Amino acid sequence: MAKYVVSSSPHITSKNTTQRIMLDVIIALLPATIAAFLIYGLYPIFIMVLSVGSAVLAEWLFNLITKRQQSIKDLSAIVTGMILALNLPPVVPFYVPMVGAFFAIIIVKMLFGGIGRNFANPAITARIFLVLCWAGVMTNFVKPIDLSNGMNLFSYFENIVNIHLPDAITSATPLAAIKDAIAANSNPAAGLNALDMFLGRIGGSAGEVSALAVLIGALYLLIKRVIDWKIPVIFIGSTVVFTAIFFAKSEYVGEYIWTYLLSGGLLFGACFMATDYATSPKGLLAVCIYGIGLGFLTVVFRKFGSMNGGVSFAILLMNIVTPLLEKITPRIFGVKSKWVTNCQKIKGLFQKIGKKKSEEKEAQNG
Amino acid sequence: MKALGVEKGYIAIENNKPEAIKIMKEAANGGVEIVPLKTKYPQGAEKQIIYAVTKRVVPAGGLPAQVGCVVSNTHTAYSVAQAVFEGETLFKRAMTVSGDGVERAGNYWVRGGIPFSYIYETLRGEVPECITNKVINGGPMMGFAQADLRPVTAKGTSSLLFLSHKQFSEVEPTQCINCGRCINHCPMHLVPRDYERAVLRKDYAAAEKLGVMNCLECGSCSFICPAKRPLVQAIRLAKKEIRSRGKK
Repeated sequence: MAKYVVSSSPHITSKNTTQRIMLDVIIALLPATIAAFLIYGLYPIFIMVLSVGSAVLAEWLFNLITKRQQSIKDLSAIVTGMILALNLPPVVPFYVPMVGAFFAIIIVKMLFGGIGRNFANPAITARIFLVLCWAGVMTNFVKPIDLSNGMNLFSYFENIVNIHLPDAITSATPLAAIKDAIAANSNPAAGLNALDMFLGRIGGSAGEVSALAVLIGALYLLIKRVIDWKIPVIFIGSTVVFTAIFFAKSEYVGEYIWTYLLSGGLLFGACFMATDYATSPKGLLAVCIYGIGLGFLTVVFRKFGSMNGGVSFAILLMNIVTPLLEKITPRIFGVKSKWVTNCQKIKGLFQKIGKKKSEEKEAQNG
Repeated sequence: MKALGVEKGYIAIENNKPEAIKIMKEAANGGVEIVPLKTKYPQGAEKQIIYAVTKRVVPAGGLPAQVGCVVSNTHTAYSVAQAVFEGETLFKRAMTVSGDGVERAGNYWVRGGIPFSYIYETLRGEVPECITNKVINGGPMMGFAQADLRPVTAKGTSSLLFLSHKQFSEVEPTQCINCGRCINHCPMHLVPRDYERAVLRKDYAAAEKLGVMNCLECGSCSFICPAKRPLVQAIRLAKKEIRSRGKK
């Protein structure tokens, strides 16, 4: 008798793998990477190489030291490295992405059990860590490269070790400008150009400036079904709604809405970081709470916070709430919702009381 | 319909079989309606097909009769008709034989009690024996793998698959990435990820509390999992443990 392979069903599985998903995310991050190159030259690409390299090295070393199976093949370290680099200002000293990547991989990801078990998005946590470590460096945003003005693709490379940016090339980010406008009660859109903001010709984090590039990448992920549309749409939608509520009294409410939409890390965060598998809830109700919470916190941090990076803090906080939201499990097919059963119970109770009363009446009459 | 005393009957056919739908629509009369359904797995399961056709939801742990439905398999209906109208007992059934391991794959009338080895040798043709690496009694999603060809056909043997290495998946599971695909694809709206975690720490009570007993073992979770976790396999283990504990 021939011997056959025996295993429990199903005998076929989908071709989708962890590696394939991560590859799709890497592809989706390429438009933002290219945008960073076109806007700021080669320096952000150099930073990304350092960041990705350190992230992979960190995971490899961790697995080696703790004698675990090597996991760098799943490409997730590359994704973390890329997202971290795109989150940083275009010009930072070389050690910043390296420290950030090591922090993201070792402290946030591997110490909590590796892929899928991190309590918060590694890149966003690392970014916040870096802001706390080097506040000056992390809030110094350069102007886009102007090739006609004697600059070339290698501009900014003199800042590898020490940042010394003359005021002439630093740029206030739109978010900072909006913050000033809130304080001065003036038009936040003054001096901002919607097209520039959409294409990314503004100051900001390397990968977040170009809304167009971020949206192309997000569209790819949606078509590939790597991410679900619900979290980004609810997040961005509730940001718009809460902006309208918080600035309802202002005469510039419309300007606040579109400038908030196109500035800072909102689009990038909503599409690439809030959708992180390990740190986002799964059921429909939980996803709604998660998305609305993100939008609410983003607007609160942006309007009332003293630091920039409201999206980062919002995502970090909602990441921490996620285990709680995961307690809301979907309603099993065929199990009635508690609302319905409770209503029926109450209805039944009233019917019982009614019956008793009518019986009593009948008894009295009889 | 007569035996049940009902007036309305539906015949559900997946919409990837347009000819069957056309022929059946012409043949249908009386209270019978042909319902073309979107082709998706596992819609053939009792509760899922009732929902797809009538939008009625069978209560968890309940039976279709509770929502006034009886689901009958095509073959069951055929056998009943044969018995009632032709007086013929159930001794043969339509069966699909397929896979790289056989040359003459197709649908056959097979009598009960035929050894699998006989079917294999009859249909194998010129294909060498070493091509067949896995034999499945049933479908690729829920069928049972056979260790050898000694078993015989029975009234429930709907298909036999002789698969080559290319046709079934043999992958090592990797760490769960928490993507939630198993949760989003479960036809019973269950949480396979959490059951597997509970089983790995041998906490069967937790799995039961989360509703593991509602699982119909369709295998969608294991199929879709990008990390190739053995989810439905873990669920089966949990159900077996819970059942055996219940008996004590």
